[in-house]
Amino acid sequence: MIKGVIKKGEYEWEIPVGFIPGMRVPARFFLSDELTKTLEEGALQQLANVATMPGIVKNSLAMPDIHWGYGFPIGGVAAFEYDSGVISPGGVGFDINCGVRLLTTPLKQSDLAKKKEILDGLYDAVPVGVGARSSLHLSEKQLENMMTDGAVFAVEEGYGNKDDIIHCEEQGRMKEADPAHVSRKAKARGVPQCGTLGAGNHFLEIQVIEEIYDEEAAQSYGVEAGQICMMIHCGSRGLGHQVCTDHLQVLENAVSKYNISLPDKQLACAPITSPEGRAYFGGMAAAANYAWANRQMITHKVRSVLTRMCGISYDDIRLVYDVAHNVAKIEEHAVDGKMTKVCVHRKGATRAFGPGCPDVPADYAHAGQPVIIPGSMGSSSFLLKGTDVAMRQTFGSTCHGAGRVLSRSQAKKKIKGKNIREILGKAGIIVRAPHDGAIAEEAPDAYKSSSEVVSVVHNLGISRLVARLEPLGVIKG
Amino acid sequence: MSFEERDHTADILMHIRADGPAGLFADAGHALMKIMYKGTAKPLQEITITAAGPTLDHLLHVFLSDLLFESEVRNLVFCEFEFIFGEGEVTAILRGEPFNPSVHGGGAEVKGISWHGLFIKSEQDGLTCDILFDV
Repeated sequence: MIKGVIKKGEYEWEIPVGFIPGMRVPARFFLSDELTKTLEEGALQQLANVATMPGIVKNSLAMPDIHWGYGFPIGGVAAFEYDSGVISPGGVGFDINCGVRLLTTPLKQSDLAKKKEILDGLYDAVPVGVGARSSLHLSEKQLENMMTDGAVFAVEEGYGNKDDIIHCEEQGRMKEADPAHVSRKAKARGVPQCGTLGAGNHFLEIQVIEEIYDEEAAQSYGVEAGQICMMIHCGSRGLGHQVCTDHLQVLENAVSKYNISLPDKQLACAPITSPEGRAYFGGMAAAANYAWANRQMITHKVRSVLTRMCGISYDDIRLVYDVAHNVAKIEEHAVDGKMTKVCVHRKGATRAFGPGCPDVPADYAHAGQPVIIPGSMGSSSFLLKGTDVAMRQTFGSTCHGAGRVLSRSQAKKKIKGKNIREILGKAGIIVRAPHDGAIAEEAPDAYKSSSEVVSVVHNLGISRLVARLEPLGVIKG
Repeated sequence: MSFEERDHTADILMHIRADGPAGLFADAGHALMKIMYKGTAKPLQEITITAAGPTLDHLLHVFLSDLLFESEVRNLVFCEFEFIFGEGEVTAILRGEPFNPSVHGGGAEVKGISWHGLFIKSEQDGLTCDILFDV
């Protein structure tokens, strides 16, 4: 382990105040001994940098999928006191509300004799990759409504049903959204990309539930072994990317205006309650809503394809849940024994609220909030549940995925997309992607083991395993 | 062109080296296009953009962010860059051709230009800069 880092428990490590100048609180991260082998010093530096930011409470945190990013590390979580703390696009990322949703179907593996044709149908229906354009033509008013009402807008436009909204984090709509803080440029990027998947690590997968670990929670969530599911992973597309770019430029000036000292320009921030902070939050929330609507529109396309090709009913394809993993939210958490209003930043981390939390849907209240952890291409994904431990220790947060260990260039040098396609094909997993490079970059060997990452959060108790899903067909952007 | 990809786990880190600001900005533009698109483009269309900022670092960040925007929204792949530097601003003349999936497809989607580590350094034989592209 890197010098100066202290082991606090089997999976818990601390970076003490003083590790770098200006730290206001200690940083904590969660790793098994196995996962420490891939820990990068740059990621720890970034975790410590976050601990220097004004108004941070308790700890700068990182989940077991921590890796080197920009601003916050990927896997980073930090809460800032509402009245005295800051908000930073570096704690959210360019892809605002990048997230994942899980759909169940009444299908079993034996119903997928035409799996390749179904995957082709999905690939044709959902635009993927660089330069892909939407077939939907949003008016200015519709885009405005999309940013204001999120998944609610999409359902009202006919892209889903009302139960979908109940089963989204924030019910698919951050009420603080303010499209006035979304620039003309961001809107120009958003219109042609609504309903598109994007590229990089975004995907659409056909999966099967291979194993149930928690029967009671699985029953609450409506999942069972052998069930065919669909997983959708994407975000706010160019609109969200532009919101981040625009506000970073404003907040960079705010840093000197508010006399804030930062170790990294990408942590540019402003007091949450300042005009600059409110503007970013309003724009970010509008982009988050765009992302929920986007995933809802893709869900509609998935349902339409499965209805047409598999002879099942549209309403039999049920949304289990939709979670964001790049977002900042105003929440209340216990700090020094007192419920405190904070701005929680989750960058590559998932909300994991425990049983009984008001924001957990009523039908899941007993189990806790579903947490969806996508694996890398060809590896296991997991369904977990939020816990009280997470509420106490991590501001109701857990990991978001596997976490990279190889850079994209290393992955492409080491792994050939064609070979991966063949290896996965032999395992019964069909891959569709615009080019082989996309497959190589996102190959399983480029990531940490998703099983190892979720076993850490399960053993820590910050979320608990409910089910394991295995991929059968993958569409990569 | 003088840029090389360096290892970064999550994103794409490019090291740029040039004799002066115009070369540095052009190479940074070429680096962005190389990440986003494969194949080559021809200078069939021309647009002009202006970026403003208090320092050369800022100008580079704003220029690259605007280049990304123009490429994505206009669906253009740029291959030639010319620059006119003024007081606190740079005007860039960009030339390229429309995106054609069969010619230019296969690149990565760039989400944004990070500020992380973006400092233009003066060295004996010119300027260098590391730029982290979020993909």
